[in-house]
Amino acid sequence: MGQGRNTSRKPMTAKEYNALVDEYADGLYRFAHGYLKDPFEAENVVQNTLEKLWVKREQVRMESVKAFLYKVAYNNCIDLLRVANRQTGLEAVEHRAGGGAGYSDARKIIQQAADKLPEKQKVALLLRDYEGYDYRSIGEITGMTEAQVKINIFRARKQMKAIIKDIHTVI
Amino acid sequence: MEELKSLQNDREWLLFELLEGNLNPEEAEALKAHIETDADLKAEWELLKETILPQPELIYPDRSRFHKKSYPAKILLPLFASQTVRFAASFGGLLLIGYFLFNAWKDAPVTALDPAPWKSVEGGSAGQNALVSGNSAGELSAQERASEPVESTFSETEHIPGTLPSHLNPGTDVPHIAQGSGDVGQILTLQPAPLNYSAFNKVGLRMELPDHLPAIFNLDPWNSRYYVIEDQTASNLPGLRGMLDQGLALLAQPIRNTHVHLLRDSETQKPTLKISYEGVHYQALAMLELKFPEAMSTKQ
Repeated sequence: MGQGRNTSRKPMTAKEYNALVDEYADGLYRFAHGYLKDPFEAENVVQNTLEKLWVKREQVRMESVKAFLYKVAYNNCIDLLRVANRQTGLEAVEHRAGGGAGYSDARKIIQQAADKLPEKQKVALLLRDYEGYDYRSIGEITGMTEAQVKINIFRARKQMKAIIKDIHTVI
Repeated sequence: MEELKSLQNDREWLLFELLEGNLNPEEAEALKAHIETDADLKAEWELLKETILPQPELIYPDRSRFHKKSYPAKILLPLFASQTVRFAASFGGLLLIGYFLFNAWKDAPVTALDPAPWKSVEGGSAGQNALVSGNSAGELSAQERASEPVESTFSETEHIPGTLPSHLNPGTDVPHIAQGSGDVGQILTLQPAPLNYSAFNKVGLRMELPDHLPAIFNLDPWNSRYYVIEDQTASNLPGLRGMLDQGLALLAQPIRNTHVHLLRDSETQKPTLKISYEGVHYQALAMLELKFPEAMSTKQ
């Protein structure tokens, strides 16, 4: 990313911003949707994130735009989840996260397993598998160390593996 | 991290490292070969591969609504990309607007002076316009009453307000010198007056001045010609009233940093008021040479 773009401290132009919107809107939406399981809130997260980029365009360097965007989106998701947890309890989040969906195909099974992961494991796994981030970049977004990221992803896969195994056994 | 070190020889950890692509090619090949020989390990490996989240085919709806338009001003005036220059340009623009507004106001025709309060002072009585309030009229000494000027001394008709500054217009009997920035200052007249003016200016704003000459400034825009010194520590001046035209009528606008100094020529003892003041858009200085009847000016 960012190839051929101006990496100096010159403020981001509208044209550069529009290109970033085109490049990252889908990824941010996938990430927020995967995290929140709510298309409307995911849209809001994307909107807030992109608006924040525009507001901060004079401070954000082009080479760190992606990390900035995902960090803002992640924090936004956490805030939304905290509010949701306060308002309706974890059950509501579980429900929004797709509880009750049938195990009709492998994708849903995997998604179901991912939804049950603890927050840190889930976000690390989403950034790793959806966006292909390395451990260091995930750490920058989530505030974890590289080792913590790796451990969280390991635990996430281990837990998912157990869930998928159980589901296969039931089926 | 302790947990990380303890996992190094863990089978699950090795499979995880393989899945994550953290092993070098030789290690990866060796492990894959080993997996093929171990059915349990192979089952574990197949399950682990399923933990990779498939990327959902989600497209953000209508992302174009976030697009920003390019502003031609930035293309036409690239200098304005700098925040400092933008600020300076905005400030300059405001100054220009202020300048034109100020000029428009300054060039407005001067309305005729309302003679009513003026005459009542000269008459030295607490008339309908009540220049003298309460007990102040009674407190005036006989000398003060006697020293009040006669009306003909300060004839308004001989001076056309809003024309040349008085010091450039010697044909008038305006007894003052006014000077300031530009053409500010055209003093119509100034004369001694009774001591207490609290009733004279009902909308007056009392201001404590640094040199202890308490004054009242009329801030009423519809009656903005009066500048009143209510009292002063200089005992030889029982009271002053200034009736000012357009120049010092600026005093009637919101002003700040006003200083009034009573100056006296060391030889002639001729009193002069030095008034410096600031408005929103200007700084000005007015020197008012005071004219007093002989009886008052010599009262030491």
